[in-house]
Amino acid sequence: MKRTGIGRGAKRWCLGIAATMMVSAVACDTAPGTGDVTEVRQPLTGFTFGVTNQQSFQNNYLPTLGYSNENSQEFGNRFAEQNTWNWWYNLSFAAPFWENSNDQDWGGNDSVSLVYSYTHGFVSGTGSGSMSGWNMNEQVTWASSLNMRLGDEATQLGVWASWACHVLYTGDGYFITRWWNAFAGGLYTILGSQDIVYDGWTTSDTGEQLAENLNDGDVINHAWTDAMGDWWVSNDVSVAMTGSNYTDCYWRLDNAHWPGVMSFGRYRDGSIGYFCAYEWTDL
Amino acid sequence: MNFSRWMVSTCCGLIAAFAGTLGAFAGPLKASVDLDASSRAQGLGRTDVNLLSYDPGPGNDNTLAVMKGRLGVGASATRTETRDGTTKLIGPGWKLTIAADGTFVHFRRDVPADLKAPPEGISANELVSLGNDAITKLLGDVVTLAPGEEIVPLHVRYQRMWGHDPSKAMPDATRVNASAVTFGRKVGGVPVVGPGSKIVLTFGNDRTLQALEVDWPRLTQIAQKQSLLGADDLWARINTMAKVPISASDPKVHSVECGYFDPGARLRSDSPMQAGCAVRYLSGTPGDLAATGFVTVVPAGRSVVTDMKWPEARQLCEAAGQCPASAPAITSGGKSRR
Repeated sequence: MKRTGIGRGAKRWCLGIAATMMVSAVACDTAPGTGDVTEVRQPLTGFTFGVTNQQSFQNNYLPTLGYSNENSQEFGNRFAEQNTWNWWYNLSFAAPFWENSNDQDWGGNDSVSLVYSYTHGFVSGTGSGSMSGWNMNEQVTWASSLNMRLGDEATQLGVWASWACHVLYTGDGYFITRWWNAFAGGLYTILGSQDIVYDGWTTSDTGEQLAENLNDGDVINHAWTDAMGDWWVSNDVSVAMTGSNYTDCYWRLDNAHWPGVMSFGRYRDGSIGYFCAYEWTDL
Repeated sequence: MNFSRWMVSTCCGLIAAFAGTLGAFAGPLKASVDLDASSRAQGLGRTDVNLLSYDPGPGNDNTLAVMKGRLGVGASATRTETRDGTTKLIGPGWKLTIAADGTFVHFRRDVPADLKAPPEGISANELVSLGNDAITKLLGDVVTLAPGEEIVPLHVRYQRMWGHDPSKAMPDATRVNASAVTFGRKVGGVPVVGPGSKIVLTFGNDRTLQALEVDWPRLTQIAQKQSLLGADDLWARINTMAKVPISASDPKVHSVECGYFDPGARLRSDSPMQAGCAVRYLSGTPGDLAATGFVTVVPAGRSVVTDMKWPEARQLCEAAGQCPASAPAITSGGKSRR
């Protein structure tokens, strides 16, 4: 079941507003696929975000994610009602912009406060080599969590919403191995999956729902869970965070709203005292 | 007690009796397990169904008034109306959303983590019982049943707390913070599959209600019948639409559900509800930590009712040259960095 969202997208809404109010020069479209986003309405929060995703993959080395673009566009359209949409990029030659080498540059994950991404994900390796990976467009390339340090440069990423399978896997005891480097930069939270998420028609609005829930001021954990889970499709949904200890970590999970989370203190490197997550299976 | 409330009470009594046979385990309940097995083998297992029409709901304002009273919320709240006709009431620590003509309700109360939560959640038996009670007390007038309809317990799920102190070698033992039960629907003995026609109730370890979600359109069986594909033809159609080749016994197939397909409030069209089979499958084998999930929902009728919101139904009518003008493609995606 989905929360709401029978009408779709900011473009139609803005055109409707324009017609109703006889405003002739409102241009609310976000020029999908053709360039950077033009945000013409006054953002309310003062925070920026980026969208980055891949729908089909070079030489079909991975199956097409048929609803990657739709979810990404609708997330952007809706979240841009209250926040500034800086960029929307596909995942061609994108790994450096997810990893520490270029994440501070325009289009990099540290260049905005929140990132929404949509691609295939995986876990590979064991021990100190265990990583969470996100597939890029080029055959067979990926971005690795081991090469990330998020939240420490440029705008300092705070929240990463990652539609991808497995990247928050906790079944092997190596979660911290995979995620220490990424969180060590001060990233507050990642919204993801500990196992499988399903790409399909009935979940073509998870991006829009997430944006709407965040704009409503929902607890971020609930915003992601309610968007990703329709209690039928069987998505495995997880939200991970850091804290100084067990109690603090769950306090932060329970009290992190958008954009209030951006005023939380950042735990970096050795100040991270605990990793915690809420997980639902088969939502 | 009006008729619909009586129906809910009666049906919940039947559910409670049925639930007495359930074990304490997480995951799909007997009705879901049976549905998966029969759907893989024989689709809907019948030659035809009557199509279903959607009847008008009670309206957002009526449902809002009912739910505010029953949930005990409403003071110090902000009411907003969204462009799609959804009504939201947002108060300190809670949100109530009403949509789809008053037949969709979502309520959530923010509750802090149970830091001393147990390792196991509420048993399936108790969850079904708690759910029945909540349906009876909270959802009369919202969850109504026409003659021939049933409420069926489908699934129990648990919200787990995972944590790891980096100074320790291993993560802490997981705890269960909340437990949820999902109920579905049968119409004339045919299950309704898909995101719609569901009731979900989430409880804390103290058995208080933390969240509920209801998507329960009012339905009527109409005289028009739809002839259904047999299993072989059905799997042939599935394989023309799936991302990867699959079969009924393929371990990549997570589950199959055949019945009336209800896509849920947002995706419903004006078309009558028709038969479909939803197949959830993986791009790899179970346990493969690189596999992705896909859902393909295939119309199960020999002839398919035109439904431009249902991509697979649209695909069939386009192939037959029988569609009205197609909806425009949504987007080409983000730009390249180089």
